[in-house]
Parts: sequence; C-alpha cells; structure tokens
Amino acid sequence: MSIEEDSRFRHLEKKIGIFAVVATLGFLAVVIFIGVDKDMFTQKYLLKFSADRGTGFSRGMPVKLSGFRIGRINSISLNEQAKVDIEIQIEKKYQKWIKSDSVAKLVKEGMIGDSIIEVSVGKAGSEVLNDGAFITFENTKGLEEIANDIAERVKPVLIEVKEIINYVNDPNGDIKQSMKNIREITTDLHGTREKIDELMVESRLKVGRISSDAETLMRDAGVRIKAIDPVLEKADRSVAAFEQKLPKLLEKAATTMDNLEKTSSNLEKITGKALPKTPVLLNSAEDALHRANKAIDAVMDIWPLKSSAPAPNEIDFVPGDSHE
Amino acid sequence: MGQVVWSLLLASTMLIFTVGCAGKNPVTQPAAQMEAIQHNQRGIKAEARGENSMALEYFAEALRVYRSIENSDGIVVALVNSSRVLRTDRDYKNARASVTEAVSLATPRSKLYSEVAFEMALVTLMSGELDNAYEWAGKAVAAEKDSNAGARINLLARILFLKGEVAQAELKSLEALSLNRGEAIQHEEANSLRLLGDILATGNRKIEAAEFYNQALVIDKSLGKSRKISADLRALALLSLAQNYPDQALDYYRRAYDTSSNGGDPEGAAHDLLEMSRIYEMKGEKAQSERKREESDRILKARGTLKRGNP
Repeated sequence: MSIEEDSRFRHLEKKIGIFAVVATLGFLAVVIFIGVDKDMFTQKYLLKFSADRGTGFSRGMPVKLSGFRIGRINSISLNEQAKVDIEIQIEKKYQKWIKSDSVAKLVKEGMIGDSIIEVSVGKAGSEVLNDGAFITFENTKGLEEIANDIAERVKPVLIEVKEIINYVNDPNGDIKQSMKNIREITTDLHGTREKIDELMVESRLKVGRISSDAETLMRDAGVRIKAIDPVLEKADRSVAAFEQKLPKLLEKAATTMDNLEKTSSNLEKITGKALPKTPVLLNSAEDALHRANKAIDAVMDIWPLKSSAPAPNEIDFVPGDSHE
Repeated sequence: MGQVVWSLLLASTMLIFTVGCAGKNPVTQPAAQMEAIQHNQRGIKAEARGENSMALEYFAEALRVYRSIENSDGIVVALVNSSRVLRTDRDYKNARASVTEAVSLATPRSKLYSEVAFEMALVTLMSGELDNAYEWAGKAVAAEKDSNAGARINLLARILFLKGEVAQAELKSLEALSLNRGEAIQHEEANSLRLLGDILATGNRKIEAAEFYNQALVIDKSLGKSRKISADLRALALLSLAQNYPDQALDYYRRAYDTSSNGGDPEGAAHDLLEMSRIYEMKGEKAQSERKREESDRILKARGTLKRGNP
C-alpha cells in the first residue's frame, strides 16, 4: 500500500526548525535592542547625594554632564534624618570627568522643560569619585521660590506707588490744590482776555481818532509845503546862477591843477637829483658821528679823565616820589 | 740851576703819567648792554624834561635790548621806569602790566625788589586799592637796605592816613621825616612835612599844620617843584578856609593858580579857579564867582576834560 504524501508537508520539520530559530533570533534582537537603549549592557557605577526635599526628583530622571546624558537616578529614599537620599547611576566611561569638586544640581532644561540632574566637570588635578562616593548637591531655586523672591522685592515698590497715588488723590494735598489754583487762574485768564478784548476795541477807536488827526495834520502839511514853493523857486534860481558860474570856477580849478602838476614835476626832478645823494650823505654823517664817538671814547679813556668819568650804571631809575 | 729845575719838572711829569697809566682800568661792558644803558638814561632825561612819549620810546628800546641779552636786572629797571612814566600819564592799566612783569622777575632778595614793590604800591594806590597798596608799601619798607627808607615809610604813612589810621600815620610820617632829614633827601622831607600838615589839619591842630605846610613850601620852592608848590599852597588855602579866613584862602588859591598855569598844569589851574569861584559865591560875589567858573570851564574845554554837569 502506498502512502500518498501532501506536498505542503514535505520538509515540514525543517521548516518548523527554521521558523523557531528565526523567531528566537528576533526575540533576542528585541531584547538586545531594549537592553542597549536602557544602557543595560554598559558598565556603570553609583554616586550618592542628599537633598532636603525630594520634590522634583523622580526615578529614571536623566543625569547630564555638559548637556550630555551620562546616567539616571537609580533610587530615591528617605533617610533617618528625614532627608532624601538619592542614588544616581552613571556610565563608567564618564567617571573620569566627575571629581571630588564636581557638583550636582536639580535644574530645568529651559523654562518649561523637564527637570534633570546637572553634574559639573571637576577640575584637573582633583580626585575622581569612585563607585558609591558622595557627590556635593547644590540646592537651586525653583520657579516658585524665584517668584516669591521677586514678590518680596516688588512689595515695597508697590507700597510706595500706592502712597504716591494716595498723595496725588488727596483732595487737600498739594497737587489737587495746585490743580484747583490752576483752574482758578484759567478762569481769571478768561476775565483778563475779555478785558484785553475791550481794550483792543477801545484802542481801535482811538487809532481811528488818531488817523483822523493825522489826516488833518497832513492837510496842514500840504498847505505848508505849498508855502515852501517860493523858497524852492528861489533855490532854483540860485542853482541856475551857480551853474552859470560853475564852468568859470572849473576852468580856474583846472589851471590851478596844471600849476600844481608842474610844481610836482619840478619837485620830482629836484628830488630825483637829490635822492641818490641822500644815502651817501647819511652814511657820511653816520661815519662822522661814529668817529666823533670814538674820539670822545679815546679821550675819556686817557688818564686822568678815565678815573673821573662815571661808570655807566645799569640800575638807574626815574626818581620815585612817595607823594605823586 | 735852571737845567736842574727843568729836568726835575720833566721827571715828575713822566712819573705822574706812568703812575696814572698803571691805574686800574674801569670794567668795560658789552656793546649791547652799553646801548641799553644809554637808552635808559636818555629815557630818564626825557622824563625829566616832561617829554613822556619820548621817554617811553627810549625805555621800550632799552627793554628790547635788555631782553635780547637776557639781562633780568636791566629788564626790571626798564619796566619800572616805563610804569613810572605811564603812571604820570594816568595810564594805570599799562603801568600795572609793566610793574607786574617787573615783580615777576625780581625776587624778594633782589637789590631791586624794594624799588619794584614801591612802584607797585604807587600803581595800586592810584587805582584806589588801599589794602593792596599798603601790603606792597610794607614790602618796599622791609626790602629797603639803602637810603630810600624815608621815601618808603612816607608812602606807608600816606596810605595809613588814607585808610583813616591817623595815629599810626602820624608816627610813621615822623619816622620818615627823621630819616629823610638824616639822608638829606629834601623832596621826601617836604613830602613828610606836607603829610604831617594834612594829619594835623584833620586833628584840629591847625596852627601846627600851617607850620608844617609852610616848611614844605620853603623846601619845594628851593627845589623848584612847581606841582608840589601848588599842592602846598592849596593845602594852606584849605586850612585858611577851615579857619574861616576866605580872603586868605583866595590869596593862596590865586598863588596856586599862578604856579599851576605857568608850570604846565592846566587841570590844576582850572581846579584852583573853580575853588576861587566857590569862595566868591560863599562871599556873595556872584559876578566874580561866575567869571572864575567860566575861566575854569574854558581851560578844561581846551583840554577836552570838562565833565561837570552843572554850569
């Protein structure tokens, strides 16, 4: 008897085996991926610190160094002194940066970002913190504390502002009184303006009267000017007579100028002749004076005149008088 | 015999000349310095003749030459002399500038300091700064080591009198009088006497005052100082008026006018005429008073210095 086999079941065992291996490998890959993501395969060490309050801390909270994640909060527990002990787990490869002078702080990433533990880099030469060591924790002010602080500072300013407003609003205060006075002055100004208007009207009337007076004056002046006419006619006649005599006078003046010109040219000729001799004469005179001076000096230098001549005195004042 | 006498005479003459030539030569001065000294001396002579503008030119030239050879003493002398002439011309601003520069160059230990301080005292006194003038006069007295102490103390006494410190002024002017008499500095002796006259006249010791004025007048006349003679006569006129002798006062003013108008002081002459006019007015002689006033105005107008508002 022949057993008929379904072709789909052929190599079934093999197929099941391959499926099982692939599924196991996939599972293992997922486990490894999650493990890597959760830093399960990296070497770590623990650091501890204590805080007054546990507010803001949570398990798994990232620990960062220079903005780079290096670990997480491993555990949070309340100790015997009612303080909060916090244990952080840090990757071993970052241990070299965290030293005895490093500080851990609870900070926010940005104004509304997540809270993180920020660890500062230790100075070169400081000792590296080992597994289980305590790191210094520094309290930082939260938003609420900052807001309270600002409120405390602003409070006195607000009180003062309130006092100023009260002072301004006081009906018997200086400002209200001043405003009242200004209002009164303004009212008075209205009255003054009315008076000025009246004055202007009055002035306009007076100006009208003055204008009419001026008109009368101008008329009188016209009459007087007419009276001057004969005088002007006389002046005209005098000018005409002067005009007749003027050519003769000009002729005379021209003759005089001619004479003057001739005299000048004569004088120029004489000067021209005398001028070249002047420097020679001056030189001679200077020479003569120089020789005379020398002769006098020589005579004064001869004994017995030499001893009797007074020595020139540099300090010689105009005589002073106490009762000038 | 005759030959022997002639030989002796010739030998003695030769000996005299030989000794004379062996004498010490006077110290010669550099040409520039000599030139400056000559300018200064010519300036002093021009000032004495009353040619003030010429004197100023000479002093300016002396100053220029002294500056060119950096002769500090010479510069100080030329500056003080310029100041004196400018002060006489009533140009107090420039006088002050000159003497201030002189003060800056002369240290208190300098032999010229007393003269410079004396000039500064006179300039500040003319400018009406009594306290300043007193301070400078004090410095002049302190620095004086020569025969001019009497003049310096005279000035100090005059300033004290002007400041109203009459008793101190009297003491100082007596001290000055004694020093000036001792040194035979006559014009300063006359100044001391005139000041004592002024001091006693204010203290109602008018007879003694007149005596001092007359003594000053005698000295000023002997020295031929026209302006000082006029000043003495005016002081005597004021004293006569104070004693209620208007005619005597008129006589003194007449003499003062005569001295001033002939001594080249027209302003002084005009002042005397005006005083005469006032006395005539006081006596009720209006016509005479008017005549004298007109005469005074005419002189002042001619000088271009008439400033009075009332006729």
